[in-house]
Amino acid sequence: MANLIDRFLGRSSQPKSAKIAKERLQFVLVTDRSQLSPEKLRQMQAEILDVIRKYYRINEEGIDIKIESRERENYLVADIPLAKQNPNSDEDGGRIGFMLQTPAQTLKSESDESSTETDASAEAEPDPPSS
Amino acid sequence: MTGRVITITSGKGGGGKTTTTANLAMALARLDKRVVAIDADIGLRNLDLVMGLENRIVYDLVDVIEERCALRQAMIKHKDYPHLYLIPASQNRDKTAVSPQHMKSIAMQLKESHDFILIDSPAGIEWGFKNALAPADEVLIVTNPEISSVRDADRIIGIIENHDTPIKVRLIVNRLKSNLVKRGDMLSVEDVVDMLSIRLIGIVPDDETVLKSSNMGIAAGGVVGQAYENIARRLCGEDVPFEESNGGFLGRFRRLFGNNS
Repeated sequence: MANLIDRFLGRSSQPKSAKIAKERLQFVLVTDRSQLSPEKLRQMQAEILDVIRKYYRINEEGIDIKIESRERENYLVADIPLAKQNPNSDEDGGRIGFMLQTPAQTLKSESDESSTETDASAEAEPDPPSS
Repeated sequence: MTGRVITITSGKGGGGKTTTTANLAMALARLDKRVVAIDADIGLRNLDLVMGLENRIVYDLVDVIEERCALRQAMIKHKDYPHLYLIPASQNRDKTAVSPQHMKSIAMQLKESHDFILIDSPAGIEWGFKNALAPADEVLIVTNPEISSVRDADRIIGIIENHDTPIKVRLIVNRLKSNLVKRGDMLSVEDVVDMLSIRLIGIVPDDETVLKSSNMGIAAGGVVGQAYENIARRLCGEDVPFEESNGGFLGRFRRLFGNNS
């Protein structure tokens, strides 16, 4: 019976291929629109955190930085919890949150970056065709 | 009279742009609109075949641009609809024979005496597409509920958003197989609209009668013909309810229970 209800509600132990397609597409659309490759995104996250660590003590457990699409605009959304001021206190340390709009087609190309230090594992990607 | 220039595009090839242009043009003509359909796919002419007018071509778009004929002479009157015309693409020239400025000037002249100018865009995002986009007041994006088609549509929408003049963009989901959607093996219309974040104007089911009608160069009938008529009516401002698009009762039930995550 439970099985029947599950089927009726579209639940299934196996994810349906359309659902997987949607998840894969959502991910790829976010990177297409922002032109931030997953590798670049990771790099940017790490650098942003490095800057914040200079000034705050971060609670490393709860860091959440991701790209979100809202009405076809991309935002880098960060939610970074801070370490407790007093470890014995019940109060948490507060958090840093921000939303950075990341428009498409304004990223510096790989060649512009040759002066800054880049992760050697980050493969140079061909420039996307400009519109 | 000021007509509306509507470009039909998709990014990816084979998604049904030409079939959509032909059938929409015929559906609008049946609503007594004055319509011109332009094949902007220079070198890969096809709209004439799908509209059943391949034997009547004398002049083409490039002949107009290079002033070998008057615009009126390149307009082929449809055999069934006296207010529907086709301007065919040139088959033996390449896309560089046409520029965005040419397209704007031709569209401007046609707007004076027609309600709708439909432009069938070539696939891709390069020259031919830019030509087809240049005179557009509106764009219809044709996408299939399939990952590569949706991704390419998203790219096209991004390019149109960055165009120098604002263009109204709406979506046609083409070749929807509702039995696959029900089974969870095809993206639903809601999924596609949700990801692309643009307004929907039509849902065209996948149906083998389309192949038959394009084989014969006539308008699609049945559910597909009805879908195109609905789109034509919506283009004319009528409020036509959307066809049941996803898993029907089950689909609605599922959404009701918020089991989409």
